[in-house]
Amino acid sequence: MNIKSGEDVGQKQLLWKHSFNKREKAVKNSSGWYRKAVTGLALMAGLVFVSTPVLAQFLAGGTVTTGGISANTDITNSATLNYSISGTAQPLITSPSTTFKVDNLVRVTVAEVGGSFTAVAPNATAQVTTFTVTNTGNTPMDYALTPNGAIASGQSVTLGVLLTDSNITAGFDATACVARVENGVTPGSYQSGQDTAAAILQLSPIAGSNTVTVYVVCNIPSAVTATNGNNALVSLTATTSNNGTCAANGTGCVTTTLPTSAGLNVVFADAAGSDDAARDGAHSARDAYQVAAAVISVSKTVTVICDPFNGATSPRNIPGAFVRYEITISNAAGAASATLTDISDALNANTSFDPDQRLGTGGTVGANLCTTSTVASAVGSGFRLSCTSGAVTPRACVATPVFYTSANDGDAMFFNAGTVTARFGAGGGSVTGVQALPAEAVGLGYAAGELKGGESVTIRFNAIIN
Amino acid sequence: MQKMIHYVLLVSVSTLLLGNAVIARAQSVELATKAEKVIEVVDKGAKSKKLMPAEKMLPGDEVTYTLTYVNKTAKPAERVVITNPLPRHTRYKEGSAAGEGADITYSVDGGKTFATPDKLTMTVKDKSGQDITRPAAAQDYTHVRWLLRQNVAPGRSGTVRFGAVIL
Repeated sequence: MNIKSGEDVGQKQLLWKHSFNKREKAVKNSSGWYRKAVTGLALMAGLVFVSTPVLAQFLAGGTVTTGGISANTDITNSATLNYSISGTAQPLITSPSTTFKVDNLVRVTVAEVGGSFTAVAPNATAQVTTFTVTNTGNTPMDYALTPNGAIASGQSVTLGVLLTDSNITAGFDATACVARVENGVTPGSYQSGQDTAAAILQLSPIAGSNTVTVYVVCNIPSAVTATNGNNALVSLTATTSNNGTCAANGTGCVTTTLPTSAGLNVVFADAAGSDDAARDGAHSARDAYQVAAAVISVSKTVTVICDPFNGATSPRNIPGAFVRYEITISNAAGAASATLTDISDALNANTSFDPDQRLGTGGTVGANLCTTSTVASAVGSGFRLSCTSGAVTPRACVATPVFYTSANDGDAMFFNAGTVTARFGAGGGSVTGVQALPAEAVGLGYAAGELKGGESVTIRFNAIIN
Repeated sequence: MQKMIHYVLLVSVSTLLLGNAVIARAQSVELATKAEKVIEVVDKGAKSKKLMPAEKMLPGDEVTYTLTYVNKTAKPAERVVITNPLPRHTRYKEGSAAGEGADITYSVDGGKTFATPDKLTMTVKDKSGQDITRPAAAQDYTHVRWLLRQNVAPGRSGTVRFGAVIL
């Protein structure tokens, strides 16, 4: 029993099915490919074969695509001629028709999406850059996808601004890059569980359905030498492959080559991409990862502000003197936001905590020049929080410093058992209570504990030298 | 050896007979069309167009169709009119039709009426749904027609041509 293959069934598919059933063989004669059954079992297998979806090599003739009329369309011409002989009209003459086929215009475009780098922290995994791949040819094609995180140092890409791959000692390249095709279930962002295909299968050239989103997903090395602003460039190259050859996992792609494929001439009409030449059947674009970690620095200053004998005038570190501690936590300009939790500082055992934050000014002459030198707002408030920011609409603490009592009474700062503690955001462990840097819906918004690049926060408190 | 020669001769005679039969059946005016690709070549900065075999035909490519007529009758062919519908999936290449001694007209209505380009109009709907008439453009043409001003003498042949752009 012979089952003739359908017209659209390619030889490859036939042989592929063949591999499923060793009792059949693909044979060819002068009129095409046949599936030859070797035993009676082939009947069942034949039914399976018939039900296999047929992969059309070409669109229906005359289909309008972004690359013009679809490949394999017949362009047929025939003319007619009327004439008379001796004044008598003769039968109409019709010329034999002239036919040629429209060939396969292969044209693909890869474009970066977003127009900006992807900010990453060192050691981050599965960091995503986004591209589109568009078929502007006249035939559905498969595309092999090749991500490259190892763009050479000094190479560049313009994403709003010129970004140059950083040349740092340890090398800073995105690693383990894979390309993943958006499956359309949750468009707009990468879902590792959904967007699993590593090649583009049968991308239509018809306007409106000829673009797919491709994510390049890479790991960022720990590269301790990488600092904020360092760039790791990444490219995505889409290589045109014969329709129906790529498997979803990216294997099997048969690169489309000149001059012919499936009986038609192939013409490469792609432009030069970032990492490929013009008219090579491929196109590419670049994106970049930029290191944008928080860069936190903490400084602590101590200043004697008042002693019992000199008051605030040239005070000395003598017993009874008041010293002011200021702990400043800064995040460098341009750095990514940091999320502060809490900070603790143990006071020297030979000091006492000043619950009123004396300023050391305005005191009256007496036995202890420092005892009355307070400001009203600080009475009973041992801690003062102040903030700085370059933001147009920063946190409230920038405009108005905040005072906290020294007791462990549920506010953001307290002194207990010789240790000062300040809670900025969501406290870790047993630290709970009000946050000094709460979530605020101002400007671009602040999360709890967030300290943006270029901002700082300062805690001030006094201690008394015993 | 003699047998073989005999055989070859027989074949030749039968070929001749076949040839005669074809000619006998075609005692009329004949018309043939040929498609060629137009490519632009730049030589020392000068652009010129060149005809190539119709291969690697892509959307946007220009095709020149050459129509050859030959009068195989024994009498002059009078009032010879050649009509070529634009091939499907192509549009007329403006200014491309040519034919020595021929008056060339075009149709924009599927071959019902023919006129010179300056007299061709299209009726289309404007934004408000009103019919408006505008001059026809090359892409509106559906047919090209050549009217030969002179009779075609017996045994004489000639060509006319036009260009089409693949959509």
